[in-house]
Amino acid sequence: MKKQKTLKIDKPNAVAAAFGSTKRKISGFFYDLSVKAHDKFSSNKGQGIKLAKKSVRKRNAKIFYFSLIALPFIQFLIFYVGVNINSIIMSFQKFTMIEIDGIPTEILSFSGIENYLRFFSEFGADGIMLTLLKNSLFVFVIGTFVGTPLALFFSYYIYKKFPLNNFFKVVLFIPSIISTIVTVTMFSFIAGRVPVEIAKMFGVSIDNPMSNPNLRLPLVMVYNVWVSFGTSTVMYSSAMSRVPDSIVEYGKLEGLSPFKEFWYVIMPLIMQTFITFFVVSIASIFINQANLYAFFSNQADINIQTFGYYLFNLTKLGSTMSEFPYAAAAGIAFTVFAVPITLGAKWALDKFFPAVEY
Amino acid sequence: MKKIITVILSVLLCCSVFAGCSPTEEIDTTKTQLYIFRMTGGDGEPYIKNAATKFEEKYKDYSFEEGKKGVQVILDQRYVFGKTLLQEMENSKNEILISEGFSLSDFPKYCYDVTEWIKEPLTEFGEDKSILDMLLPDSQPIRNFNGKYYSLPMFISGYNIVIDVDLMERKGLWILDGSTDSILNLGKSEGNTLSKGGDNLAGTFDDGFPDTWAQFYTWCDKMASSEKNVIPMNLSGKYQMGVDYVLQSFCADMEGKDQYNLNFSFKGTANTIIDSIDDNGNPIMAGPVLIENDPANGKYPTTGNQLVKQKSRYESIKIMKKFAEKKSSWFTKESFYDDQDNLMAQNKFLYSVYDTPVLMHFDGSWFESEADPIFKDMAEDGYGKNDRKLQMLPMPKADRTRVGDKRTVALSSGSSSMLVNKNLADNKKEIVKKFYQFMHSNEILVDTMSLTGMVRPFKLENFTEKDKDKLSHWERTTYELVTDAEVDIVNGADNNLFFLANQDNMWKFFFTATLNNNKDTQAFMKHFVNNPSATPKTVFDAMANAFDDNTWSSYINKIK
Repeated sequence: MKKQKTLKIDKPNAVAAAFGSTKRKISGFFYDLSVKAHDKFSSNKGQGIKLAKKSVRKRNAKIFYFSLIALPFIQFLIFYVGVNINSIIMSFQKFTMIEIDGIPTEILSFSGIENYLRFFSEFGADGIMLTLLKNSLFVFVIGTFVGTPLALFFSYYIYKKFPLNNFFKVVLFIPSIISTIVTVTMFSFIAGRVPVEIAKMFGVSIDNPMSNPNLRLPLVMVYNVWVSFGTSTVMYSSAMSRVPDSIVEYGKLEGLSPFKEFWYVIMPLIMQTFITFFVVSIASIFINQANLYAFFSNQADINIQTFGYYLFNLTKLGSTMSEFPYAAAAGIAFTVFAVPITLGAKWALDKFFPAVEY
Repeated sequence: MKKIITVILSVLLCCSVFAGCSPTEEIDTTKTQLYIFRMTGGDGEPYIKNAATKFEEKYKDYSFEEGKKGVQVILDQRYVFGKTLLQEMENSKNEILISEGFSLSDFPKYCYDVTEWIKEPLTEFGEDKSILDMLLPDSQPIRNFNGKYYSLPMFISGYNIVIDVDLMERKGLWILDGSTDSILNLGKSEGNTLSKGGDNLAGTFDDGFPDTWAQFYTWCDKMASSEKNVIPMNLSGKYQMGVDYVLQSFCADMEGKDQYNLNFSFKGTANTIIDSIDDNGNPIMAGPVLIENDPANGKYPTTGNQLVKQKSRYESIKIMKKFAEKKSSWFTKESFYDDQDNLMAQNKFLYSVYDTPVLMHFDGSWFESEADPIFKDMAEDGYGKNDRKLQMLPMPKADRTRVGDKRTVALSSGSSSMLVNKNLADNKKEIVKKFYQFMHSNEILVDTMSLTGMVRPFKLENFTEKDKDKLSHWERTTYELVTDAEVDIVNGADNNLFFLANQDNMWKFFFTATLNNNKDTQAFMKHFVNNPSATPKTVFDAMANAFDDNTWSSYINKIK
C-alpha cells in the first residue's frame, strides 16, 4: 500500500496574516464608502446595485479626470507657458536705472532688438559664441557617436543575458541614482589625482590631468558618457526585450551571429527608440550644461563652456536682473535655431527609418 | 511578498510629501515674538543664537505688548538671498533679515527706514555713541540715500593673503632691518630689529614683512630653498580668481583711495592711465583723463572704460606672470588642481604644520569660520583657532619709491546686510528697534566677531583687554587694521546710477580680458600657466578689448 502523502500546511506567517487582515479591513472600509457615496449621489438612489446613468458616470469621470490634471495643468500654464511668454516679452526689453524722488530705481523699458543685436555680435571676432558653439557641438558629437554606440552595446549585452549581465545592469545604473556632486567628486579624484599618485610611485612627476586645459573637456565628456549609460541602457534594453522571440529564433536558425542579429534584427526593430533619443539630444545642444557646474561651479574656463552653462551662469550670478533680458533673447534665438533642426532631423529619420509595427 | 514590498515602497514614497515640512518652534503666547531671518552661510549660526539668547535674557521681564512679558526670538535660517529674499519679505513674518547678494538700489524699495534708530546713542546698553557714529566712514556713503539709511553692513570682508606668523617665528622668516629687495636678512623676532615694512615706520603692524614685491619674490625664493624648506603659498585651484581679487587690494594700495574709487564713482580725473606698453614692457603714461558722471545733467561716464588701463592693473598682471613662472617652487601643487575647492585648500594650508609647512594662503576673510571644523580637530595639538597666529599679510608696495605711502586696503562692506522688513507692524517697532540696536552694542559686536571669525565694520566704543582676549589673532588684527586711522579702507562700491545699473559687470571690471578670442577671460595667473608664451603686455592690451567702446556704450544705455 502506498504511503499516503501528508499535505504539509505551512504554519501561517503571523505578520503576513496580520497584514492581510489589515489590508482587507482598509479596502473594505473604502469600498463601503464608495457604495454609500454612489447611493447618495447617483440618480438611482437606494438602488446600490444598479448602475448610474451613463451621463452621471460620464460627468463623474470628467470630474475625476480634470481634478487629476488640474494641478499639473496650472503648473504647466505658469511655469511653461507663462515663463516663455514672459521670456519673449523680456527679450525686447532692458533694465534701466533711473532716479525717482532721488532714489535709484530699476525699471523695465522697451529696447527693440538691442538684445538680439548684442547676441549676434557675440558670434563675431572676440565673441564667445563661437567657442560655446564648438564646445556644445563637441558634447553632442561625443554623446551621440561615442555614448550611444556604447549604450547600445551594453543594452544588447544585458538583453542577451551574457555573463555578468546583472552586474553590469546595476553598475551602469548606479550613477543615475547617486547624487551628481558625489559622482563628480569621485570622478575628479580618480581622473585627476590617482594618475599623479601612480606616476609618483614610479618616480615620475606629472600634472593633474583635470587641470590640463587640453584634457579638461575630454575628461568631462568621459564622465558624461559614463553617467548617461543608466537611462539609455534601461530604455534600449526594454525596447530590445519587446522584440518577438520568434524573430530572434528565426535568426538563430538562419545562423546569424550575435553581431548580425544586432545589426539586421534588433536595430531596425528598436529604431524608433533610437530616433527619440537622437532627436532629444539634438534639441538639447543649446541647453546641455554637460555637468560643468558640478565640476567647476561658476569658474569653468571659458574654453570649455557650453551654451547651457553660459546661459545658466548669466542668470544665476548677480544681485540684479540686468542680464535677464539678454539671456531671454539668447534663449529665444537658440529656440529659433533648434526647432527647424530638430524637426528636420525627426522628419529625415522617420523618412529613412519608418516605424515598424510588431 | 511582491505586494508587501510594493506597499512598503509606496508608503515610503508618500513620506516624501512631508519633505517640505520643518519642525516649527512652539509659540509662547505669554511673550512677544521677534522673527529673524538669517541666510545660512560661512558666518555660521552661533553668533545669532548667542545674540538671541542674550536679548531674551535681557528683556525677560520687559513688556513689549499688553498682557505679555519677555521675548521669544524665532529664527528662520535658509539659503535665500538677494532679490528672491526681498520679494519674499513682502509677505513674510520675518522682521529682521541678515543676508547678502543684494542690489543696493533695492533697499529703499523693500526695507524699513532705520535712520532714526541708527542715529540714537546706545545709552540703553551703557554706551554714548550711536550706530552711525561707530560705522566706518567708508561704509556709510553706499548705504546713504538722500540722508536716509535702509540697511547696515553685516560684515566687512575681502580676499587676502593669510600668513602664519607662528611659522615665521619658528623658521626665522622675519625680514630684518637692513634688508634690500635682493639681499635679505632673515631671522626670528626675538633679539633682532625687524625691517620697517611698507609704511616705513618702526613699531607698526607691517614690521618684518616684505615692503615691496621685489623683496617678496626674494623672500619666497629663500623660503622655498632646502635651507628653510617652507612652501611659500597655497590657494584653491578651483577658485584661482582669488589671486586676482587679492591683487585688487594691491591696486587700491598703489592707486590710493581717490584714484581707486574712480572705478566705482566714475567721477573725477584719472591720473595713472597707461597709454601703451613699449616692446620692453615699460608703460608709457597718458595724460589725465576726465570722467564725468552726472546723468541728471546729461553727463555720462563715456571715458570710464579708460580706467582698465590704470597702472596698478599692469603691475598686478606682472605679479601674476611671476607667480605662474614660479608655480613649481612657490606654490603647493594642489593650488593648480581644478578640483581643489576652498575647503580643501584650507585643509591643505592648516594641516601643513604636520608636514612641509605652508606660509601663506589666498582666501576670503571668512576663511576662519569655514575652517572651524579643522581648527576644532587641531585644538588638541595646540593648533586651535585661538592658539594660532594667523593674520593678513600687509600688502607689499609696488616699488621702493612707494615705501612710506599711506596704506590703502580694499575690503567690502557692500554685500552682506542687516535689513528690517518695510511692512513692520506698529506694535513690533519697539522690539525690533531694540534688537537692531542691541546687535550693535559693544558686547554683541565683539561676540559676533569672535563667533564668526569676521569683522563688523564698526569701531567699538571701548575695545578692552577682555574683548581682545575673546578674539583670535586673525580677528583681532583684522579689526585693528580696519579701524586704524592711518589706513584707508576702500569699499569697492558706490550708489551712483551707473554703478548700480551695472553692478553685475563691475565685479569683473578689474581683471577681465579678451584672450584667445574669448571676451570674458579671467584668472590671469591660470592663463599664464596655460599659455607660457603670453606676456603681461598682451594681457594688459586685451583688457581694453573686454571693455571696448561698444560694450561700454551698452553699460551707459542702462541709465539713459
